[in-house]
Amino acid sequence: MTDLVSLAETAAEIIAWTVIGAGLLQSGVYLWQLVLAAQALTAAPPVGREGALWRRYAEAAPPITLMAPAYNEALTIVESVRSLLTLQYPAFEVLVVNDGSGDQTLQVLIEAFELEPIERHYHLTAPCKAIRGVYAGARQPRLVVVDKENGGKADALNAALNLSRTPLVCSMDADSLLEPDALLRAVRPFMDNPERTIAVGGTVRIANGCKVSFGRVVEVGLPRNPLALLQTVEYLRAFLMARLAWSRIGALLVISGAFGIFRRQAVLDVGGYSLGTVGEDMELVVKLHRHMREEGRPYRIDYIAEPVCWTEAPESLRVLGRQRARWQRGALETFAKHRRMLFDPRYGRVGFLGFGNVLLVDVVGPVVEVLGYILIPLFWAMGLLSFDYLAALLGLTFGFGVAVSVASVALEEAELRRFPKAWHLLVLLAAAVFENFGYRQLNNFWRIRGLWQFLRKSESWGVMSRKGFGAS
Amino acid sequence: MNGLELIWSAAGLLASGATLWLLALVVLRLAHERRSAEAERRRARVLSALAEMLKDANAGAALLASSIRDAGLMADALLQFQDLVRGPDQTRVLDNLRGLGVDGVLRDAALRGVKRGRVSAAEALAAIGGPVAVEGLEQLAASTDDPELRLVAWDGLMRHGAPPSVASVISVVERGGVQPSLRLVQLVRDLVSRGPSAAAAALDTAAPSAASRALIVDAMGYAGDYAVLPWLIARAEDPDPDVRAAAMRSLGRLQHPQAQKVVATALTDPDWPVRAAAAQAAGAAGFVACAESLSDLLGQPEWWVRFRAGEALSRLGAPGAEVLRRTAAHGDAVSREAASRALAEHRA
Repeated sequence: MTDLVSLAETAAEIIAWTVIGAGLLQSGVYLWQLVLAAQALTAAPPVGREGALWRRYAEAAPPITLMAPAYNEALTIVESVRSLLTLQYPAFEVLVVNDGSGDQTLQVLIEAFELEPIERHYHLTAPCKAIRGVYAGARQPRLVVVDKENGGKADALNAALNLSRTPLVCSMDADSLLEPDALLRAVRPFMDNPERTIAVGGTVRIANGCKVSFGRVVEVGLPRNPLALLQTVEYLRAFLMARLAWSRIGALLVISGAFGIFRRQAVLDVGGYSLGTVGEDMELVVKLHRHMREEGRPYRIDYIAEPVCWTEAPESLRVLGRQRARWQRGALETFAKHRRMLFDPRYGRVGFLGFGNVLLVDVVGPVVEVLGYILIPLFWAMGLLSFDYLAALLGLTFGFGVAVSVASVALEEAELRRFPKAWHLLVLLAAAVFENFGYRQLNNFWRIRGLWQFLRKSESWGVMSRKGFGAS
Repeated sequence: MNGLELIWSAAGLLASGATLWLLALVVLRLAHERRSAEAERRRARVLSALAEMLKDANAGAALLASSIRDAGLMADALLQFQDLVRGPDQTRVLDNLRGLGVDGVLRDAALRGVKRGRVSAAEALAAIGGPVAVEGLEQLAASTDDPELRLVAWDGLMRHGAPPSVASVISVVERGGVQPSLRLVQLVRDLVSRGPSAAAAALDTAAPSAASRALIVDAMGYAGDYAVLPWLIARAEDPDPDVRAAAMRSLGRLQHPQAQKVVATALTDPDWPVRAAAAQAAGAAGFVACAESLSDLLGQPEWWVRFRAGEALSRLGAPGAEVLRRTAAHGDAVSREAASRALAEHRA
């Protein structure tokens, strides 16, 4: 009996130390990312004024196709397209794909922009559902609308890829709000290193709380909704710190579907976006890495720190939970599909560090943490664990978490300074603290839900209801 | 201190350190807001002074007196002013600024200091022009190892009639002294346009890598100088496919009938980018004699080759349209589709 109790105590300690160790390891990874991100920002600081950007880059900027999939967007599509058509970039085309909408999306576009059916020579290199028609108008020579059978976002992007003819393409969400100079900023890596750069991701920021007018963020603010505020801190950590860090070492595995610029031919070379996955954005980037490394061709997948795109963050637990579960599912689908890259020397840093990080953070991390939430209090209640050390180490993990979040805010302050008021920083600090008491834990539960959906091979997005920006 | 106390101390240190750090950020932000507001006011004063110079040079100079030695402020304001005011008014103000010694201040700032400030100063130096500016830009181009600074210096020298030689640019590119960026491509196009024959001679003398050769050959097409036609035609047989494709693009821009034979030959090049570029050139130059060869390209596996061939045939008028109609009716499946789509697209 004594042996059994002793065994149970040992097992409980091992489990507890594993949970704490995983948390500290993750904190260590964040710290490392922080250093890399700071180095990246120092090495390539953002270009300040728009005038300087245009003066330096406009003449040499290559043409881009903006690929804008649309599904049941009749209420907002005209304003979205108008704001895209007024982007400050010398040569671009807006290619809207009506993905078999059930509402009047296509009719609204045809009427608003006086479009007529045209013929356009294209080849179905990337798989997509049947294209029913192509429309354009003399009054908006930069606009092309493609009508097709419904197939989902990846399918719609593939249709746009097939019909585009520019060397670069920009993928985005229907409700992404782009900064006027977003394209010019994001295209810099392609101009500085045209031979090697095949993809560039841009920073996505939370638009909740910002003043939006005619499809533009005209005044930056903080969300009033607590959930959206917590996501603001999270996005700073995820984008400004993490993605910048991964990009610096050439192991960036995801470019947000809300905004990304790709070399068109490189995407076609890997077969376009994969269908049947909810993580098509991450899966495309991983495919690109894999293809280029297997071909032995030098390449760059970059990330720029300047905010180029604003998006609406979910403000309800239900919608946020669905989003996070879907992201988790997407990450796991990509990991499973390309699992042979893990720790394979052929894939260098991508295989070791990038995929290693996915294993730690996306595959193992949520499971270990949630088990910890359940088991550790249970073990303590059963008298199997010493509460003192556990509490101390939990405190250390929380302290680390707060420090990392503050460091992300510090990075933003040092190089970008997009939050206009000083008191915004205090609010962000408060959010960074409260994040560790409930929000982080909820996220892990949602990720477990995503894991469950992955194991059950669910493909649905669920209903993602949005408030819309309206007059913020 | 035991282990437990150590861990709690570390946790407390992290949390309190983070809090203090953020409070410091708030304080710095408040200080920065004050500094920014002051900097904005100073910049507005300089811009007003420059605007005043448009009416009264002496009055403007008096207003500028306190700011002239601030290179960063002058560079920023000057670049903004340049975007707002053009033509003789701009020239007059720039002359006045040179008289006040602003060019010397900018030259000194461009040659030393942190990179961001140097780039701004160099751009402003390029804007202000004059002998001091040109001398400063030449010094900068010769002394810097930074690719961006070198590009800015070269751009500035180009603007003021003191361009670097093609040979020196090739030499720097070959040793990796400047990134092979699209900005460099644009600069080389401008450079070659000023003296295509000299550029061709420099290329022959230097015998650089394929990438540099392609860069110069591509730029030739923008010069519009038929004197280099024989040289470009010879480049169409370069061993490197990128150079051959660049030659096709340039010949397509020049649209000279003497290039017909070599373009027709390139339609059967083993590399598809060369075939696509040759098809595009044939269409642009109106080489009707290439129509039958173009129809062969309509059945090629590469979409770009088929597309460019269809596009070219559409540009060849009645003979090209006839070839398209015939292929649309009697060609193989791939050719028929390519021809039909070309007919439909260009008819629409």
